[in-house]
Amino acid sequence: MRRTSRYPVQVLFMGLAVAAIAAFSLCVGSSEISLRKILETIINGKGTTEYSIVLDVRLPRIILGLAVGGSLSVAGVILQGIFRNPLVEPYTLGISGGASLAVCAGIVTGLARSIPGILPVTGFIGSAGVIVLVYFLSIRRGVLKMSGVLLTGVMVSFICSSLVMVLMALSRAEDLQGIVFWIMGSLGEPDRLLVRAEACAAVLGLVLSYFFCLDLNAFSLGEEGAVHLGINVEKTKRFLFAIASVLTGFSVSVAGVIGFVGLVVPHFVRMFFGPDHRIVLVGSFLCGAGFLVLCDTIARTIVSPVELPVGVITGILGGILFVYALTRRHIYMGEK
Amino acid sequence: MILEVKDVDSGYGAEKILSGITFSVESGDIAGVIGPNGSGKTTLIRTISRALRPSKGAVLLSGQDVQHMKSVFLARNVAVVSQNIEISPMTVEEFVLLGRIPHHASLQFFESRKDFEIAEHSMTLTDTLRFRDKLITRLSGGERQMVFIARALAQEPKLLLLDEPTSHLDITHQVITLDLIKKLNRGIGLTVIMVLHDLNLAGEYCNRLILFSRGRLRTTGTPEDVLQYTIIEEVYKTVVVVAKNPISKKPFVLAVSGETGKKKEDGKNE
Repeated sequence: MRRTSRYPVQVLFMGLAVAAIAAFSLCVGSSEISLRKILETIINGKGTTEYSIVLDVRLPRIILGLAVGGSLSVAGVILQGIFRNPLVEPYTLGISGGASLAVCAGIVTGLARSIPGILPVTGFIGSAGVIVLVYFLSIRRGVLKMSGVLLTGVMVSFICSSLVMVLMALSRAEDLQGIVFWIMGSLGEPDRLLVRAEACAAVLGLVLSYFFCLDLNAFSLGEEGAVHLGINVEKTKRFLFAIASVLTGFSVSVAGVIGFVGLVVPHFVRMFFGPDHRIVLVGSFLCGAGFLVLCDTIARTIVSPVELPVGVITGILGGILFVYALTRRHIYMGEK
Repeated sequence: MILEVKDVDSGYGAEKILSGITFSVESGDIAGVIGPNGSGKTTLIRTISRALRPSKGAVLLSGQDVQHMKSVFLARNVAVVSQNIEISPMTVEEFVLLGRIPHHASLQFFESRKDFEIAEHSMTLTDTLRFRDKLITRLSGGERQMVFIARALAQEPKLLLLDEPTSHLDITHQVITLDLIKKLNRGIGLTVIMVLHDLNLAGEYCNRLILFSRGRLRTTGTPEDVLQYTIIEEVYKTVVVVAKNPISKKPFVLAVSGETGKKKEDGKNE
C-alpha cells in the first residue's frame, strides 16, 4: 500500500490525539473539573467560577499552546527542508536571540512599565531585525546562500545572548526576574488579541507552506536537483524562509523562548511517517501542537501550585525522546 | 537539431571555466563529452541544464533559449542525472515520483493515476520495479544509479543529461547502465548527452564525441575522428595507443605507463 493513501487516516488520528490532549488539559489543574462538568458549564454555566477557569484561563492557554507548538514545528520542518540540515531549528537563526535582546532592553529601560503590553511588540521588532540582518548578510549576487544564513544566524544568536547577559548583569533585581521569566517562556499570555493573532498566524503559516510541499520534497535532492525539477529555487527559498521567520517571530514574541519543539517534532514525524512533506507539514503542526499543550499541562500541574517554565519540560521530555529516537532510528529510516 | 550551444562562456562568478563553446547535438544522438579532469565537462552540463547562466552566448533547445524558458517547461524537456545526488530515506517509488513534479498541474498536491503509471513504466524500463517499496538508502551504488535514471525518465524528457553515470561502478554495472542508455535511445528516441571519463566506453557507446581541453572545445566528431592518438596524447599529456575493438570495430585507447612511454618517444626520435 502506498504511503500517500494512508495520509488521511494518519491526519485524522493525530487530530483526535490533539483533541484528547486538549480536553485533558482543560480538565486538570488547581481544581479538577470533569469533562461532563465542563460541557455543562460551557452550555449553561455563565458567571460561575468554573466557567471563568475553563473559558478565560485554561482555554486561551491551550489555544496559545496549540498555535505556538504548531508554528514552531512547521517552522522547523521548513528550515530543515530548505537547509537540508537536520540540526537546524527555528532558534538556530538568531530569531529568539533578537527577540530576547529586544525584550530585555524593553524591561531594563522601563519601557515595559510605562507602556503595558509593549513586550510582544518589542520582541517582534527584535526578531524581525535579526532576520533582516541575517538575510541581507547572506545574499551574494542575488543568491541566498543557505550555509551563510546558518553561520550568520548562529553568530548573531551568540552575540545577542551575550548582550542579554550584559543587560542582566546591569539590571535591577525586579527587572531581572521579569527577564528570566520571559526568556524561559510561558503560555500564560492573558491578552486575548495576541492569542487570536498567534492562532491565525499559525494556521495561515501552515496553509501557505503547504503550497510548497512538493517544492520541499524536490529540495531533498539538493538545490541543483530542485532546479532540474523545474523549481524556482531562489524564489521558493525566500518565500519559505519568510514564512518560517514570521511563524517563529510571532511565537517568540507572544510566548517567549520555548526551545526544542521545532527541532524534535519534525524529526519524530519523519521517523514515523517518512520524509514526504505532504504529511510532514500537517503532521508536525498537529504533533507540535499536542506536544506543547501536553508539556504545558505537565508544567503547570506537576509541582502545583508552583508552575514550572514550559521550556524546561519541552527540553527534558523532548531531549529524552530525541535520544531514544536516535537509538531506534535505523528501524524507521534505514542507515544512511 | 535538438540542442545548440552557441559561443558560450560560462563559469562560477568571476571565474570563467568555459570559453567560446559552440556545438550542436542532433535529435537521436548519444553524445559523449570527454576531456581531462577540470576541463569543464560538468560546467557544460550545468550550463545546459540552467543551473549556471552563461556569461556570453546562448544554449538553444529546439531553437529556444533555455534562459528564457519557464523552469517547469525546461524540466519537462530536459532531465539531468548529476554526479552527486542527495538522497533521503524514501522508497524507490516515492523517489521516482519526484520526477513527476514538473508535470503536476498547479495546486495538484498528489499524483494522478497517470503519474503512477509513468513512474511504473520508468521503473520497468530501468529494471528497478522489483525495488519499488525498498528504501533507496538501502540500495547498492549500481542499483541507485538505475533508480536515478528512472526518476529522470519519469520527467518524460526529450533530452537526457548524465554526468559521469558510470563512475564508482564496476564493469558489470557500467555496461548495464550504458546498455540501458543505448536501449532508451533506440527504443524511445531519447537524445542523450553524457559526460564520460572512460574513453573506451565513450568510444563504444556514443555516436558522437565532444572533446574538451582546458575549458575549450578541442574537437568533435565520430569516435573514429576524435579518438586518434595524436589528439588524445596532446589533450591528456599521456602516451597512448589507439586500436580497434575486434568485435565492435570501435576505437579503444590504451594508456602507456610513463616509463615505457618515454622509451617509445625516444624510439621515435632516433
